[in-house]
Amino acid sequence: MIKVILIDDEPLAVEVIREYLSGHMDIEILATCHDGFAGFKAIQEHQPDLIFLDVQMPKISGFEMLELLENPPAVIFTTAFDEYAIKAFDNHALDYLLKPFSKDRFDRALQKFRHQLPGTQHPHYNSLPETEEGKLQRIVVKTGNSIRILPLKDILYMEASDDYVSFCTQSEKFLKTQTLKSLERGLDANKFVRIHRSYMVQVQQINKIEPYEKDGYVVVLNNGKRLPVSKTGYPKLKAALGF
Amino acid sequence: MIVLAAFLIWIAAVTYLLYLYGIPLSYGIVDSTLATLLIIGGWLLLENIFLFYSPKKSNFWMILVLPIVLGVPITLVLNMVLHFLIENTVYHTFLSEALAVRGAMVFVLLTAFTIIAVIYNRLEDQLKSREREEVALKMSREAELYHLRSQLQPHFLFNSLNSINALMISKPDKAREMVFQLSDFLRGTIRKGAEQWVDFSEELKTLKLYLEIEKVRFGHRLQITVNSLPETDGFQLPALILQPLVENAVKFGLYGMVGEVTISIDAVSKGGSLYVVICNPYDPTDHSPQGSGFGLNAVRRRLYLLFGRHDLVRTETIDNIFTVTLTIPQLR
Repeated sequence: MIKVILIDDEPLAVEVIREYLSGHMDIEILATCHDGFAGFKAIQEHQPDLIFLDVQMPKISGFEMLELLENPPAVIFTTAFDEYAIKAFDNHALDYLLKPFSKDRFDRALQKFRHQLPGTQHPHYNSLPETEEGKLQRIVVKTGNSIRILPLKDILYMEASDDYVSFCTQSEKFLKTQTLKSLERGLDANKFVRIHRSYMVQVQQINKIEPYEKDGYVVVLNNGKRLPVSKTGYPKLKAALGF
Repeated sequence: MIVLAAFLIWIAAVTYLLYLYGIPLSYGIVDSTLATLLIIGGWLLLENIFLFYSPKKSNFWMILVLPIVLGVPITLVLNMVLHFLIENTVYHTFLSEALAVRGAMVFVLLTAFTIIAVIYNRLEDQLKSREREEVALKMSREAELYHLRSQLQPHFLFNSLNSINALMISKPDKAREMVFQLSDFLRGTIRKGAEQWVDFSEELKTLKLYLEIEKVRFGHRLQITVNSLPETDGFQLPALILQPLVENAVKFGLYGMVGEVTISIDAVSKGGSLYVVICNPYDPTDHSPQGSGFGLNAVRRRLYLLFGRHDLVRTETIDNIFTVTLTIPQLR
């Protein structure tokens, strides 16, 4: 049996998929969810093989929900917005169905899933802005079983370690599977600067820059935290601060 | 009529003037009539010249040259003709003595006419260019308004079609009803594209159709209350001005929150203006990327273009309820 979860905030949109799936006897619908929070929970609980996912949903978008999953299932997007298609395929989405879609089109998407090799691993989704021209406005993270939405202004700096990035706010740290490189692409270069291989800092939070040892520098944040600046990071910092 | 009267008065005045100089009335009438006719001939010639030619600033010397070029022959011809017409030695003496004065008079009259013609031409040009400017401005304004009006979300249409697709099998009657609602709504928005102003009751009807459709899509969590006093029905407002605000309210209410959401629209009249208040709950911790405020800015811009006022859209947030208040002055 193929285990499936449907995630869409419109009950009627879920109904269409249910109806289209009803002819496929080898498919089992484990859950239907109407927002990203519920979707995230259901995926962790049921470990489905395939999800049908809307993009615009209450609280967190379909993309933001996917970013939180360590081992995402195969994803077929179902949305009325065509502007997210590039991002979806960039992130190895299996297919992208534009609402309203026909049964034929739906079956073809399902066919793609069936043609996948058994045991195919789906790569982790990256925090990238949802449209090409946009920039990230917030970061969605999870702590234990709950999901938190971090506004960018609360993030002091980010620290990379292995496959994780920790987002540091005034009082907390949140780990997320992510690379600083993808964040560098998704964040406004004038607000967040990659000052070091392992550090990215919010420009607004910098109190001062001090010389360190022979010809290195450190930034001192408003809360006293000191972060190293690398040789390649220093020119970027200069550019962002405009000196 | 007036021209003829002026012509006769002028002739009479000149005749009298000549009489004062000792010219008999019979000679005076011939003299003044001929002189006036020639001068009018000169004016007509000048007018025709300026009909096809309007001097540039650098060519303003033409204003003096043209009267001289025309004035000298007119004066000479006048003198010669009068000399032959009236056989009188005293009058002949007067003719030769007054030649310079006569020439000066002709010159002054022609110059005055030239100046008036040039100024008139310029004024007319200015008037025309201002008219053109106004038309261009109006056209660009209309284009902008049209653009602002047509910010209707295409996603709404696609999602509605998707809902109809869903209802087709399970509730065909409901599907059919939604097709009609959607058509009525689209017709309301498309047809209004041409008209600038609509009755509030009509705008409300379109809004209600829109909200009905949204209720089919999100019925399980969308509550809507509409309160408007009958007295507001006939108030006029720019077509589809409320649509983007209500769309925003639905979007922020439904996508910013989980669970049930109530959106309210209230309309009152105060001091001869129409006030429309739209409220939706929203989550301040959301930091949603959708919060571009584009719809709100478009409405602000449109009202500014129509009324030249910046204070017609007010927003406030109290206890996680976002409120937009729109003031629509009544022009009648």
